[in-house]
Amino acid sequence: MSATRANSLTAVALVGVAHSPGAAPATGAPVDQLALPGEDAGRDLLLRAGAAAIYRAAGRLPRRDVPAPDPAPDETRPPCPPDAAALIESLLATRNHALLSEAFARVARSGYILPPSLLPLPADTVVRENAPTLLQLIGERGRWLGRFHPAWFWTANTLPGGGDALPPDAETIWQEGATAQRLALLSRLRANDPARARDWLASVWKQEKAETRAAMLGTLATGLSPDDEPLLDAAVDDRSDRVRAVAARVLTLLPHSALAGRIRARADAALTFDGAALDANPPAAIDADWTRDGLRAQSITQQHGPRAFWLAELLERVPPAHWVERFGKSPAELIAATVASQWRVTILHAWADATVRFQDAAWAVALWDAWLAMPSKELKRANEDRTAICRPLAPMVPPAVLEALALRMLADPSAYDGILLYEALDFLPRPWSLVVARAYLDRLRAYAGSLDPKSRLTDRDGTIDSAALALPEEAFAEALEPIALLESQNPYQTSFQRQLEAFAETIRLRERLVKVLPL
Amino acid sequence: MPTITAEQVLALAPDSSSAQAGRKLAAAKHWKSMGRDGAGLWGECLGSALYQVRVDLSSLSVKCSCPSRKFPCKHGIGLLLLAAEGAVPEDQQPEWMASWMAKRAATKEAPKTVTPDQPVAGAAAPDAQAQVEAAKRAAAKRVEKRQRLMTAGLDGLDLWLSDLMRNGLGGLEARGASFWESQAARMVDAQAPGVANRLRRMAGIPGASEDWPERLLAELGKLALLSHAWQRLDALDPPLRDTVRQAMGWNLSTVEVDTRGELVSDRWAVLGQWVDDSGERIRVQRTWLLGERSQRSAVIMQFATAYAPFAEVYPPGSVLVADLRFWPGAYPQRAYAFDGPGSAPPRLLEEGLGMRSARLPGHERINGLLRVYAEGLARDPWLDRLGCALRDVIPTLTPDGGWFLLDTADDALPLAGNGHWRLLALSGGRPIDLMAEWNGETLLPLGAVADGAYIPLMEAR
Repeated sequence: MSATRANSLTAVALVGVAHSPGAAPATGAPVDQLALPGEDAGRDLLLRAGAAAIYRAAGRLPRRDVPAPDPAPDETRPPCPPDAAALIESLLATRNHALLSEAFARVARSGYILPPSLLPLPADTVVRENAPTLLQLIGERGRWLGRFHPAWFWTANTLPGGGDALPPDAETIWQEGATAQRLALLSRLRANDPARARDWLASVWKQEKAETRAAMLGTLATGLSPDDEPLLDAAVDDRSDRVRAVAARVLTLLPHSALAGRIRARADAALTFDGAALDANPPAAIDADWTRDGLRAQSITQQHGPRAFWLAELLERVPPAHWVERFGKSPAELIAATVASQWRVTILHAWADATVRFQDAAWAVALWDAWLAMPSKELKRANEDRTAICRPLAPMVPPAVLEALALRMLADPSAYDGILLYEALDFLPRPWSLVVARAYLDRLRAYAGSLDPKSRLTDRDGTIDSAALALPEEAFAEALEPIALLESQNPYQTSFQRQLEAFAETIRLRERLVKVLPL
Repeated sequence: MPTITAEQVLALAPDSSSAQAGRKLAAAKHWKSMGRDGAGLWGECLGSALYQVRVDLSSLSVKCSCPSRKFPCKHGIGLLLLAAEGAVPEDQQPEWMASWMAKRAATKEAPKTVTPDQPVAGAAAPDAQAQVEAAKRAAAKRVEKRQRLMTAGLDGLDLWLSDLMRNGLGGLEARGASFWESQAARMVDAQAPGVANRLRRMAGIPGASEDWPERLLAELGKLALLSHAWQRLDALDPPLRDTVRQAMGWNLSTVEVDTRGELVSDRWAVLGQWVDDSGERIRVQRTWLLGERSQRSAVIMQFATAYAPFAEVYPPGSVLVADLRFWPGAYPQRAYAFDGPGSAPPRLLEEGLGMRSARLPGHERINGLLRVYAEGLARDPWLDRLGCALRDVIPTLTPDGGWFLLDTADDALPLAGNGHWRLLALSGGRPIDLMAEWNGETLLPLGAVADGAYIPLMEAR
């Protein structure tokens, strides 16, 4: 049956039979042969149209013009067991993001992937922090799905394969890929073959946008060598201040660069040591070359005076090991030598920043001790926050040292002015050790037992939620022993009660997680 | 006792908030007591009060003492989830559970009420006989009255249709829904609600697509054929007569279904289900089944008001061993699980779809489905849906955003709606088995079997 004939039936129906004189339109189908004596033209048309519609529906053919998709490649790793998949599905359904991160990490460490029935993952589970883990977990199927799903383009922004090896189509990705993908490729190449990565960057340098140039230049921090200095030196004079800032930052990491040398020379002039006392003589003014070297001219917060700010700008850009070499004293001795200086807090703060920047473990421990020992009065006068300075140092400090702090504070939560118990606990790597876990649970029980049933305060405890996620599996059984609260009808206590219930629930879920995904 | 999976339990949840609340209650600490045996599952949940939850495992019917109007309520879902995890211990039924089970068993075995068409056996007393005769006469009178009312209503409809054709469909794009609604209301008054529904569906066609005149003409044409068939009802074969009567919206009584409807014994694969809640007060659940031996498609329809429960539970992906009683008609699909004299009570097999070694019944090729549909239209021209299983098919999304299903011979049919991501993920461009509802134009995916597991594809509601 031809389409035009069917249309002609429709055409008459559109204008109406009253306005279409002449022979009744035909459908071209055998239904035209049906005899409909005595029906008026409108009725005749309708009955024919109905019969033709059923005739068409019965003769419907499938489409032949839909291309089959390329199948997803075979998986290289097995899907996680069904009970693990079921648990993850229920975590997804309840949007339990904290435990999802743990579950995803366990799936990845067990060498499994997520089964296709869990894909695609809801968009809000794909946050920047867990995207690299997820990319391993979604398997070939997930990456394949990313080709179709707009919300899954993040898979395309990440490189296939994993590990350090370059994908076979690296050159094409570099020429045509998305910016995020090109950046990932450049970082990976930089880790393998720094010289080639530098050549790639140099070859596209002029045509990239400032934002892209700045991001790409940042990849040079990996595998940095003196060979990178010319490119970085040129970038120090770039049109864009973002690019200039990145270039200066990377150059400070290169100890023999001219820029690092200039900053070191300024810093040497600003710190004096007579063998016993260390003091500062901060610049009284800055010159035009100051900002060219990436040093900031004035503080955004205006928290400190200009001289203290300039001193900090210099010291945080010099590897702290330099001072051990220059003054022939250990980090602890040098810190102790600042005791009489009016610039003491500024120096120690800047050294802490430098320690993070140059990842110096020896200095981290010495500074950690110094900052914990700093009298509150001195901190207050200098307007400094103990926790803010200690937090970035914590990952470089040996766990035993962090534990000592946590245990002391579990015994006496007000042991350190300016550090709260939950902050001290958050410094610890997760999962906690059994010693800390036991101390924590003892304290929790004692605390619950000591609550005054008549109190009109809401006794929410800031540590409970993070403890639920940080306790080690060896402590689960102990954590699940009921925690006794004094009998009370006090509505203020029900909030604490509920918190304890949520704590137990999280531990039970983690217990299941350990059972279904043993490492 | 059937093994329950968490997936099946969640499919029972009336909506996603119930499912979520149920998951939260699926933790032992919320339960003062719980237990199960071969027939039942029970537990006492510590909510704002102590609620007693009872589950009949033969049908997954849930009864809870809480005041929730949702069904099953979160307590029931929580308990079933715990059972699915294997966290409920074997135990003896407590009194409150045992008495409920006994009451259920009693209701099931209660004799059907006497109806005029089914004279009581041995009722020979003359005045009893006379009563039955009088009831029969009254029923015949009611039938005659309704028939007259409907015929008069359809005469009016025919005039309205002819008027429409005389003036043409061109102006309909500008007419509002009230144009269709007022004619539909007249059909409701004439006791032809099936015709009213067809008219209401047509209200959405004008202007909705480029080919709307053609679609509307097809629907109006089919409606005219229906009224044409009604006029000559007596000349039709009895099965087609039943089809026409039901298409008009004149429902058959239970007795009529039981006396005239075919009884088919088979293992029925529960392909999937969906709930149509577009109606104002009534929700309609369609559960599609496919006979393993008979290869017949069947649909169990259940009706419920807003939050009221559907009476029976048919978990998608399970296999129901039952005698299905079909509503009589030219192409019978609507059925119910018969549980009467001569039939074994319906039961769910322990292994669901995908777990069974026997392959799912279904079509190897899309052409197979189209042939069955054409055969169905030949018998029932008003056939609008068909449940089906398609084996070794591949879903795909074309670059211009069209969703399709391909078979191994590269034949393709469009999928209904959008967002079939889960289906796409399950397949990964490789053949899987799909359970769907075919409406003559698009396939609505209900569930899929991939890697030996049934995955429901309709949101649990």
